[in-house]
Amino acid sequence: MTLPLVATSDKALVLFPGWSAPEPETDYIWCDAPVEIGGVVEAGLTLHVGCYISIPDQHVVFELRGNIPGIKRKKALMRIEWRSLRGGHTNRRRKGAPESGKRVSDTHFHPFEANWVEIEQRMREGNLPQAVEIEEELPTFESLREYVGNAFRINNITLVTRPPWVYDLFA
Amino acid sequence: MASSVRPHPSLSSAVDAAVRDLVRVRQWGDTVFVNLPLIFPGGSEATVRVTPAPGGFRVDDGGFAYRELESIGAERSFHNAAGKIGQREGIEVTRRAFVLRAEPEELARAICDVAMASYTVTDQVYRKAAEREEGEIEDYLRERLSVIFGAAHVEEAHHIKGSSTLDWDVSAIVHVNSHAAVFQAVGNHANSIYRASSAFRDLAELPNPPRLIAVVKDKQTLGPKLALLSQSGRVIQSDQTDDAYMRAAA
Repeated sequence: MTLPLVATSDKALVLFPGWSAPEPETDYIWCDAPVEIGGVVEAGLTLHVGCYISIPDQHVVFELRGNIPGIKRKKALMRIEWRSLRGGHTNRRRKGAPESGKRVSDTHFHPFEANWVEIEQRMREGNLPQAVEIEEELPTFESLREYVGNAFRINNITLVTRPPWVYDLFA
Repeated sequence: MASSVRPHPSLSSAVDAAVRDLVRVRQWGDTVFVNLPLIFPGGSEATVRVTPAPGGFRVDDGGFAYRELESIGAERSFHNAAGKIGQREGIEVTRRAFVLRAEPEELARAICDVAMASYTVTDQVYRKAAEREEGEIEDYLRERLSVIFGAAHVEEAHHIKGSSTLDWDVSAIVHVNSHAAVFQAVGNHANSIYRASSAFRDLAELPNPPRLIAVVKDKQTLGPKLALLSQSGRVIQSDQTDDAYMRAAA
């Protein structure tokens, strides 16, 4: 299956494997859920979701990863970052591209289309170097999840449960 | 006549705003995140995390470099590459993060050093990943050629002598009708291109030269080096159709 077809097809999570234990040195928690298209589990196609257990309602990353034809490594195909602690994103400068060199805020979307070179049938170099602003208000994890489901075309995104954030009342 | 230079009305404010945005600080409880003006290959900024520690502070990169590498399937390269940088810069490296402990007067330097280490490891691994693509194209290429031309037509041996008598290692030699075709996987880095180019020039001087085909992952990213490569052989992309492979070998 070609990458544009993967990106534009309706998809479903096969299952939600649950959240990982926090990584001791970073506090990061994550899950990698296998993704199917039309009832077929595509090799290497996974939805990665990650955040920090001790920092609730911040820095949530949803990333669709797949195998790139011609090379063995798995790579990100599209990504949404919500309230990123990495302080937004700066698009790579590209001649003639309207988004070239622009900065987007800490809640943004790296769509497949903006990172795909149709005429050459390949992903842009780097790790999804182009991103666009998400204009919609996404006040909660649940609203983010719904937005991701629509943007990534994953029809059962609600399988991804709310992260087991630890809320500190004094923070 | 005196001339006056009028200041641009919004110059200072535009620059002020841009500069103010270069470094940002955000606090959650006992944790402070600092974004610094070093742009990772993915477009986000080098970010460090500062937390209180006995006698001062702990500064780490929150595993952001590791996560960046994970996005391109290169997270296994983190430990080795980070270890070398950590050793050189005196920074502790855990499985997924750079860590420094600093007294208050050392904090600024520690923030800079951890951010720079985080950026450097990512940049290095990205470059190496691009070089590794040559090997990846090669594996893919051999399988592809066996399917297109039939395994019996793809030679087991991968070397061929040029007119200089030098023995060149090539990715694959395929026998098509009455002639040989040499396929060479070529990565984007300069050494790979120069090596393929030299081999092709030497092989082209043979009395009965084989067809010479460079297989790249992406013609566009070769830039001007594509012109150099195409002077000495045909160039195709690894993901082109079977027909393109056959035409190149004809």
